[in-house]
Amino acid sequence: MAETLGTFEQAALLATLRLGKHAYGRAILREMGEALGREVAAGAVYATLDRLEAKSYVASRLGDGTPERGGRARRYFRVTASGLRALNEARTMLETLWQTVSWPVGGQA
Amino acid sequence: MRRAHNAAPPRWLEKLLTSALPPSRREDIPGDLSEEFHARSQQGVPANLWYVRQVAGLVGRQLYSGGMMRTLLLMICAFTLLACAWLTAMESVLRHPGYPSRMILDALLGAGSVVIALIVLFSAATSWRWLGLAAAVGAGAVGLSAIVRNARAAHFEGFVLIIGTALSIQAALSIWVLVFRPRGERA
Repeated sequence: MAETLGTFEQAALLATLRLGKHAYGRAILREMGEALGREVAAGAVYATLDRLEAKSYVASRLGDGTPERGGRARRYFRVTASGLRALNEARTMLETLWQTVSWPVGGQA
Repeated sequence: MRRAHNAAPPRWLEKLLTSALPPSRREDIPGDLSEEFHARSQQGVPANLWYVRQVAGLVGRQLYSGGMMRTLLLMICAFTLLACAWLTAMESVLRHPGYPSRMILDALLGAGSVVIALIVLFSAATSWRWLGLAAAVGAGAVGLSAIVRNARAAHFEGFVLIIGTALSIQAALSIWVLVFRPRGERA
């Protein structure tokens, strides 16, 4: 069983998955911001991607640069098989947990 | 028109960011931020403050992660080594009562700084790390004691305060780098 993913890690993996072959740092940053409905800090996104890469849930490679980037290379990310498994397990775990109570919660408080 | 001229982030901030990042990320991260800055400028969205916040966050994370702490520790080790060499030389010239024991202490503190720096630079085995930690704690104790005794003394000596503070900071940074250092620091 894969290590439990945090919400931010799940958001980063899902953004990478949605973007497909266009998943590079800035695109993931924007996608996560839109998905979470708030501006996310670049430092938090890069730290999360580094952590996910260390866990082998994502892999990265350097691509080409553009004039807007001052010619600097883009780093493209892709979700690995382990990352997909971890995402599926996270979803299954949440669904199992939520099956024990009715939505919305708070009726018995 | 002004926006088009400002489509690139401030150079000094870019340099600060690049120097704080590990070598493997000096291309893509500043590039991403530069691209976003450009896009925001084109859309007329304020980009300068956004850029400052991102750089501050990234630099802060690097400081916290240990990479910059290591650099700071090496700089302080260099300073304390020079300070100890200077103190040893001054003791040998002035020859105040009790100078041989103080010379030995200065030499030991200097040797401790060298040991810590070598351990940090070459990522030594655990046993050497403990030696470095012992040297750091000893130097920190000497530094703190010097600060306290200097504050209570009739004649305040500025150099004692500076060297004592440097030794204390060196001890705190050594504990951080040698004990609590995150795994990913060397990326």
